[in-house]
Amino acid sequence: MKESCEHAAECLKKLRLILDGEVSEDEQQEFLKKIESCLPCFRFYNLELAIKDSLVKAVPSKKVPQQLIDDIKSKINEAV
Amino acid sequence: MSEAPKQSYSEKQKVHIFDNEFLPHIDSMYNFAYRLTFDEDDAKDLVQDTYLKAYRFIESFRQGTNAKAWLFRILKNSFINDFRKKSKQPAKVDYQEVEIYYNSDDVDESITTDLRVETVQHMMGDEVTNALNALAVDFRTVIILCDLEGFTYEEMAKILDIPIGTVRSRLHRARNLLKDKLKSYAESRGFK
Ligand SMILES: [Zn+2]
Repeated sequence: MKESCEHAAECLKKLRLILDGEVSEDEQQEFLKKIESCLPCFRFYNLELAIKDSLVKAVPSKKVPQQLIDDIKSKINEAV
Repeated sequence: MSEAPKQSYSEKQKVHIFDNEFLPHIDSMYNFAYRLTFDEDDAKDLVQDTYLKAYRFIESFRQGTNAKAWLFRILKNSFINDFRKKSKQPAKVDYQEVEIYYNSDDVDESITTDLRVETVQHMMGDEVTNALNALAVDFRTVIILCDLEGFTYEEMAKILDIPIGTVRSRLHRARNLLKDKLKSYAESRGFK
C-alpha cells in the first residue's frame, strides 16, 4: 500500500468523475483497482463519497405548497 | 435545447405537456429556487415565473425530451436576469473574480486532506447545509445540480450555458471549497 501519491491532485479529479458517473465502466474498474493500493487516494475516495452522502441527507427537500400550483394553473387558464 | 425547431401544439396538447411533463418537476424546481434564494416567497415567485415562461414558450420544447433540464435552465436564467438584478442583496463574492482564479488549471491547489470520513458522517445536517449555503451562488449551483438533483455534466452544461469542461472545473473547485468549509466547521467543534 502506497503511503503517498505523487499524482494526488489528478487522482482526486478522476475519482470525482467516477463518483459523478462520468467515466466508462472499464475506466472506473481500472481506477478503483489502482487506488486500492494507494492509501491517500483510497481515503480521498471514501471522504468524497461521505461528503456526497452527507449532502443528500442534510439538505432538506421541501414540497411545493399546493396553493402555488393552483395559482400557476389559474394564471395559465386566464392567459389561454 | 432551446435551439430545437419550433413545435406546433394544439391548446389541448399544450395543457397535456404542461400537466404531464412540466408539473411533475415542480418540487425539484421549488427546492432549487429555495436553495438559490433562501427565501420561500422568492422561491415561489421564481417557480411561478418559470412555469409561466415555460408555458409561453412551450413550442420551443419538444415533447418527450428532457423537460427537467429545460425547466431548470429557464429557472436559472430567470434567477440571473430578473431576480438577482432586483435583489438588493449584493452577491457575496464577485463571481467573475472567483471564476478567473479558480478556473486556471495551473492554480496550485491546496487539497484538504485531514478531514476524516467519521467526522463528516457525524456532522449535523445544519452544518453541512450551512457549508453549502456559504458558497458563492455559482459554486453552490453546480453542487446542487450534480449531487442533489443528479444531473449529468452534459445536462448541467445545457442548463448553465457553459462548456462541459467548465462544468467539470467549476464543480471541482466548488467541492474543494465545500470541503474547506466543512473542515473549518469540524475544527470549530474540536474535531480533527
Ligand atoms: Zn493515487
